[in-house]
Amino acid sequence: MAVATARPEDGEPLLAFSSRTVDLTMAFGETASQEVRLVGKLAGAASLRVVTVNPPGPDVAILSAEADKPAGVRVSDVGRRVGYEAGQVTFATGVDDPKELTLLYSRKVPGNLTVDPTNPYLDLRAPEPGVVVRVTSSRKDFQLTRAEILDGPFSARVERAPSGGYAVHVTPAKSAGREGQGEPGPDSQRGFLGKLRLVSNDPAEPNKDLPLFALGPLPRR
Amino acid sequence: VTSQIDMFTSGWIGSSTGLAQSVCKEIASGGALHGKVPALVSYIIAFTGRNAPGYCLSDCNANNAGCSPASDLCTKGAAWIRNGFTSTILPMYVQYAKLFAQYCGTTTPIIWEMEPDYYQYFATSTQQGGPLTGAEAANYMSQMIAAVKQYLPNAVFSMDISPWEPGNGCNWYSNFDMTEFTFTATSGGGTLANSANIRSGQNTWAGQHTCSGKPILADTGYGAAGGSAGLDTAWDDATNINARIANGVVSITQYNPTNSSTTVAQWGGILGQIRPNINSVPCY
Repeated sequence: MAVATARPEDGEPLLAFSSRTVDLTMAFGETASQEVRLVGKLAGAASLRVVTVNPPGPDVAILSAEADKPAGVRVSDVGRRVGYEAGQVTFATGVDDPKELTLLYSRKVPGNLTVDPTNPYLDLRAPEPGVVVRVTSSRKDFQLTRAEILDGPFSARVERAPSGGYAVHVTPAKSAGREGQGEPGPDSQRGFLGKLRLVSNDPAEPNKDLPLFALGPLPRR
Repeated sequence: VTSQIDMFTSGWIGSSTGLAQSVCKEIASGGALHGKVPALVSYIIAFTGRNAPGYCLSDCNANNAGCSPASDLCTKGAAWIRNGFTSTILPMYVQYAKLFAQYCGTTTPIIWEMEPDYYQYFATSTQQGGPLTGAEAANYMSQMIAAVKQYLPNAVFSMDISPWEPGNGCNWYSNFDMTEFTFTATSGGGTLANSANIRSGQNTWAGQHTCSGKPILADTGYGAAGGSAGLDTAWDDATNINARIANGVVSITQYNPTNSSTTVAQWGGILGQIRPNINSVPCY
């Protein structure tokens, strides 16, 4: 069993990392790294080896013991994508107990765009169902070129927002509505997935995809 | 009742590996709930901790029933996550995601409601080895969601509401990548339809909605030990529902919407009567 730390309930741990997590924050395209060292009664006896990096991505280097520091690891990563990703690295320790240690890592890359809501939701039982996605940027030269529906029974329209930025109006596609009059049938489909793509001149996120979800029956055409 | 409902909640994910097959049979063509969206509560951390060697974790309010020595999710829950995540919890997420993909397919929507009371692993000082840090809680959560998404791209996710989170959960939610969630959700117990507070003396609906930035999936009707408390008629009142819609609630599920005088079919009739008086959900 891989364990995050091997700690007696009281007192010094047998073997653990000095931090349970490595949380890297970097600008898009930049690199960040963090070192953690072993602590505990067995820190001097351990010999670390990477077993798995899941999901793959960060570089993990084993650091030898130094005069005043026990062995440890350095986790480095590049800000390839805007957003947050998390994973874990499992190490063999070379000692009998614990045989493995797991270190959590995360990568956070802030972007320029602010999108609200981030996960648009449509109530299809509303008289005129739809949601407005507000899109702004920290960059003064920001231009939202277009909004595309990549998937799902939706349509999207872009407007300049009076308060700045853009307003993307997402509604059920006219062609997707159900036919007939009155209440929908008892077994009509009541939930719909989709994907909205925002195409802009943002260097970090020229194509930003948002998940769409709608609950209820499609309105009549 | 089926013409009146858009979603439903089954047994909870983690309780039985047969769950996916039974749920997917219901929503398949010819099934009783064809076309409806399953809103599935995922309680894998707790379910796996109940029988894990050396843990025997009951719910925090279950008085350690059957566990000796005494242990529960408020004493060893965080330790169970740290020690069992890679070997048990994450593989169980993968297993359930694969099963739902196998039986339901990967195109019809599924709402996956993450880990009721997840907050208790972060905020409870009695956690042996210390409670999860915010960074740990966010990391584990993100890994669980990624595991499901890998096999079930048709899942949308909901973050749990623990109505006792201080400050309506503002600080709690700030730990997480909230772009992973479409909703937040109450889970288990009862909720107040006729109050600004989710439960008496606890957080408000509006406050939780503001802090998370997400629409709320409300549930009600759970009694002692997860049993049914029957129909919660307060949620059949259009005035109450409209007040909660204004607070960010977009749905209500009732565990067992019947009582001595109301059948499920009659409940459907009630929903049909009040629906014309229910306001639209605002854009979120």
